[in-house]
Amino acid sequence: MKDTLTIEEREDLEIELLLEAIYSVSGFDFRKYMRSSIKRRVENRMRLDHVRRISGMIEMVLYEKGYVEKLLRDFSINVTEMFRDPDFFKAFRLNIVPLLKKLPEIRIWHAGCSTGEEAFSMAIILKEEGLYDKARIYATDMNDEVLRHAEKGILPLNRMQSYTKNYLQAGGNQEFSEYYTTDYQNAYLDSGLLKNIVFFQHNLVTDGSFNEFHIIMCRNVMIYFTGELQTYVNQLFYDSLCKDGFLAVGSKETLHTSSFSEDYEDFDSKERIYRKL
Amino acid sequence: MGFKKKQMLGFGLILLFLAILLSFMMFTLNNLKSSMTEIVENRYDKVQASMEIRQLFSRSDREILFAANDANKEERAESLEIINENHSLIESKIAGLSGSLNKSKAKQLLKEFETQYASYSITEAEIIQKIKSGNSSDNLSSLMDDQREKRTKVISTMDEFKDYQEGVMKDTLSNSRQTYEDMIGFVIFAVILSILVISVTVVWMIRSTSKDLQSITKVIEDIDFKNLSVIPRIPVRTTDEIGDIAKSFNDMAESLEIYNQKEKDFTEKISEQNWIQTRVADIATMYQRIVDVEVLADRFITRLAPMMGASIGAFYVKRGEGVDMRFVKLASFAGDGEDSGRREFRLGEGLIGQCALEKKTKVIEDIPEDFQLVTTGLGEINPKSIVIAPVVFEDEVVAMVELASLEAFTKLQKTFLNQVLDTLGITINNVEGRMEIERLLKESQAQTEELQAQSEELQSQSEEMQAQSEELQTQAEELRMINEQLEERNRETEEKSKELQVAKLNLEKQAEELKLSSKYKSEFMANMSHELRTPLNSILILSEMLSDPNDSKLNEEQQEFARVINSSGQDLLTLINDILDLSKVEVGKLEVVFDEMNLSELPELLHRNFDHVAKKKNIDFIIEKSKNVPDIFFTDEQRFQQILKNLLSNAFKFTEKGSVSVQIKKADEENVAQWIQTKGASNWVEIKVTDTGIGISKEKQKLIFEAFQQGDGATMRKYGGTGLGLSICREFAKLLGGWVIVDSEEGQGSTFTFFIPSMPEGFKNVDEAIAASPEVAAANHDDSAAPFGEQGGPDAGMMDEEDRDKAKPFCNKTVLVVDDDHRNIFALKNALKHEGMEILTAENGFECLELLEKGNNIDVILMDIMMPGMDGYETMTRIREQSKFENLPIIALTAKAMKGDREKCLKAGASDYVSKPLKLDQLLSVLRVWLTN
Repeated sequence: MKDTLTIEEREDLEIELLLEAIYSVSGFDFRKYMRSSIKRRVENRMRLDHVRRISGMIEMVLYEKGYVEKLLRDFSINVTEMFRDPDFFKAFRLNIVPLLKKLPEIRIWHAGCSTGEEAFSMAIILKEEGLYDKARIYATDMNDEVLRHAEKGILPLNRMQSYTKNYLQAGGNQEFSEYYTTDYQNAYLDSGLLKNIVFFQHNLVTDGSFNEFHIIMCRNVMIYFTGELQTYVNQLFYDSLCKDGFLAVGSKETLHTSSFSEDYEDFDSKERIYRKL
Repeated sequence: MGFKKKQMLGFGLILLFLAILLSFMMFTLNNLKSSMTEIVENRYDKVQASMEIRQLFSRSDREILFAANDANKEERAESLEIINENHSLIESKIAGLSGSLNKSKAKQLLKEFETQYASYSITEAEIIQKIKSGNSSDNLSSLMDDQREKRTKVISTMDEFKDYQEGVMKDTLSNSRQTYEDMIGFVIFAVILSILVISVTVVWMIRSTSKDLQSITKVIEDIDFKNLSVIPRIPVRTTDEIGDIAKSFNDMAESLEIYNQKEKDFTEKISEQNWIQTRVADIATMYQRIVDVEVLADRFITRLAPMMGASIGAFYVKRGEGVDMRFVKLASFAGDGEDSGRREFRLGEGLIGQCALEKKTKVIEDIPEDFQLVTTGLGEINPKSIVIAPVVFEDEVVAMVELASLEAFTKLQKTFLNQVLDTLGITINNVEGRMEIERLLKESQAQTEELQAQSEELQSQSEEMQAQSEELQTQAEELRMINEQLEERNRETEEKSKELQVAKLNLEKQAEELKLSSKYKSEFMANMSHELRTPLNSILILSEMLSDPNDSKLNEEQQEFARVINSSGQDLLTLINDILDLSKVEVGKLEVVFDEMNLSELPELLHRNFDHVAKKKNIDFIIEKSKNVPDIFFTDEQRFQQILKNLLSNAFKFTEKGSVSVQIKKADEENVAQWIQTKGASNWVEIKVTDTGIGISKEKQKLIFEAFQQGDGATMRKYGGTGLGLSICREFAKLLGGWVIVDSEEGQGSTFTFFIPSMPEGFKNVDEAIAASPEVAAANHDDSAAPFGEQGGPDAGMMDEEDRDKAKPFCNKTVLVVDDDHRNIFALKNALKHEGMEILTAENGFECLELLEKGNNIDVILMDIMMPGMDGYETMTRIREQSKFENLPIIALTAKAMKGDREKCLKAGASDYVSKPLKLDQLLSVLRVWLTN
């Protein structure tokens, strides 16, 4: 038995216990999330709440009502935008859409959709390509709160300029302003765009496959996972993709370092689009 | 003798014989010819001459006879003539003959004949003489006899000569015949001889050559072409060409045999090489796609051992450097679990360590007794030979392989092992390199992802912080407001009834002022109403609190006061609401929400609301509803109910006795059409509210729908009310696409009829509605759909108004409209001005640039594309060239059909585009987006 633990060791242990506590209390499993990221967010929360030790947070998780929700909100990073990485959406429109035209129906899964901006972008592309009516977009996230927000199709007005730029860069061929109305604070997406998007809660870590999809988009989600969890989630995606289906990951992610590189072909290696073999 | 010589000899002999034969035949033929010539030319001529001589002689003789005996003189002369002639002829012939004779006998005979003839001629001449002289016949006859005698002699000699010549001719003929026969015989002999000689020569020639050839053919036929290792030789018997052939053949056979031998050796070598190559290739193929040294070691030893015929094997790989360097077993073949061989060893440790140190392959044939046993199912066997081999890469041992076999390793297997190990070093190095790269790649990928995660976190945090600061600001604002409200509430509570009184007076005064001031379209009024509602709300709440007996410290009288305040406040609120509604309608700010509504519930609703009024006033309240009225009806339920309530309140208010009845039925479309035309409306319903009250005079009927108008001043005082009810009814009815009319007779009561259409689509088409009903137009401004609830509580309504002003992005913003069409400019100007924007206009690109140059503070540009002079693309390009306008929002106005235009717009620097014809909503949305900072 060790007499003393170093500061790092103690912190690591505390974080482990904290995550264990969160899992037991809420059912949300962050134990296989990247420690460095979790640590930063925990530290951030400690700073904001003036908590001295992580152990103190464990106590709050266990005893303070609403505290675990607060932590969960911290842990869920909801950075997204419409037509994020416009080149990706352009590649999608140019190279994947023609292949989708033959399908009788199209099922798309946006895993970790956050507030749904990418799902909306997808809906716009499919609409412009005349495929939206036969498409169904399953947008999932583990965070119910963001999903409730996403369902409304409300976008902050101050983001719309950059969304417009993204839309145009992504090869949009209509008027972007046709898809929304505004008031003095928000832009409201056309309800027609939302009709084939289903938002529901799904946790990649704990929930299994729920359908077979033609396209799975999971962009900048797995960057928060450890390699082990990434493998697990990749297996989930593999099992949920139909043959010749597409898997799209974030611009900084890759399948090549995973054990799945043999199961997919590079469809567009620059935009990180892979096709199941 | 050579083949050539033989042939020359043979054919020479044949030619020689032929020549002899031919010359002989030529000679014989020549002989024959001379014989023939002799016979024909010589003998025959002589015989012929003798014959002619004889004939001449005979004739002469006959003539003599004739002349002597019978002839007259003339005839005699003639005969004599002939005799003379003949005589000379005979003599010439004899001379001719004697010249050509060559045989002595013939000469002799001819001499004799000459002699005899000469004697005869003498006789003859005598006779002739006698005849001429005419001598008698006696002399003559003797002469004649003599002549006869001589003549016989001549003839016989002649005949003898002739016979002799014929005899000679015959001899010659028979001679030549003999010669011919001899010649025939000789020719036959010669031919036979020649044939014989030639045949013998030919047979000799053929036999002497074909024999050698046959012996060669036989030898060649005997060759076994499938096995060229032993080829029979041809014995060389001669030195001729055939001998040469045989010699050459033998040489060839020998070289063939050597070649065959070489080929055999080569094939063997190749097959060995093949054996090695196949296995080397097999193993090299296996190397592919291996990314782990352990896997490599395992697969390698598993493949190698059977190829080497080994029963057990182990594979060690170098681990660590310097002092820590050791070889660790990564894989084994037929190894007995962990027991097979050492797990690791160091350089120089044991035999294998020594091998590693020396970098040499070692083969051990003498196996010590206690060496590891090869385990089979039945037992254990000692191996017979062992090979220990290092794997070298860049002169360094990177791995060791050990194999043990029950048989001795063949040379081939050893060569194979060496070759395989040669490449294994590189492979191990590659795989390790690949593993390292993989590891680094994974690491870098993890770092990339980590960075991305961090950046997202940061973004999220900054967003959060922004949201938090906004939230804080809002919270502070709220706090401040709550504070103020609390303070106010405190103060109000303290001042209680006094203040309420003042407020009431104020309100009354305001109401009075309202009545007096502008009756229509007063935004001021609307704002004021809002202002009034806030304190009134407080009054109502507080007075209600005060009047609550359970919760009040006031005495009963004071509580009654409070109740009065409350009810007066309620009245006031109703009035204010009415005013607010009306003024909103008039300034066009009232929101109408068309939705589904159930008409079947209407009678019940009205009963619930007015039964107690009817009861109180003791008036009958009747509701009739026809069956053809549809249940589902699309309109704004709230406004609809408000209209009916107002109408009914009025009816009850002005009715003291009798009844108030409501009739709901489907309206006659034609009847409706004379009052109002609403496009897109269907299913009209007509609601008649009839009372038996005081009625309205004809001249007042036009006025009652004006705000603040009642029957007359007295009526107002008697019945109370604001006089706004009917105005509101009609304005609301208009908003819903309907109309209210009145039919009344003073003293008899009134009938108000309310026509309303079902409008499932709502009042979408503003223009069309305007065309039909100009007054409604004001109600339909662009913000009718804006989501703030004016029908909420008074506070809520006011808050929204404030927020709206605060957040309104259009206020004090300047938009530059660049368009050459005046109508477009006019339309945009009006619409945008209404939103509170400043508008500048330019008719073309030059003007636009000029305006920008002047330093006008422009927030956004609406840019038409098709313009004379400088068009939109060029203008935008020029604007973007100036760095200070790099981020100035430019919204291009394009034609919808022209898709290419959009790309051109974006290229030219447009921030966004909107297609013509413009939709005001969309344009405003876009402007909001681009004016938001």
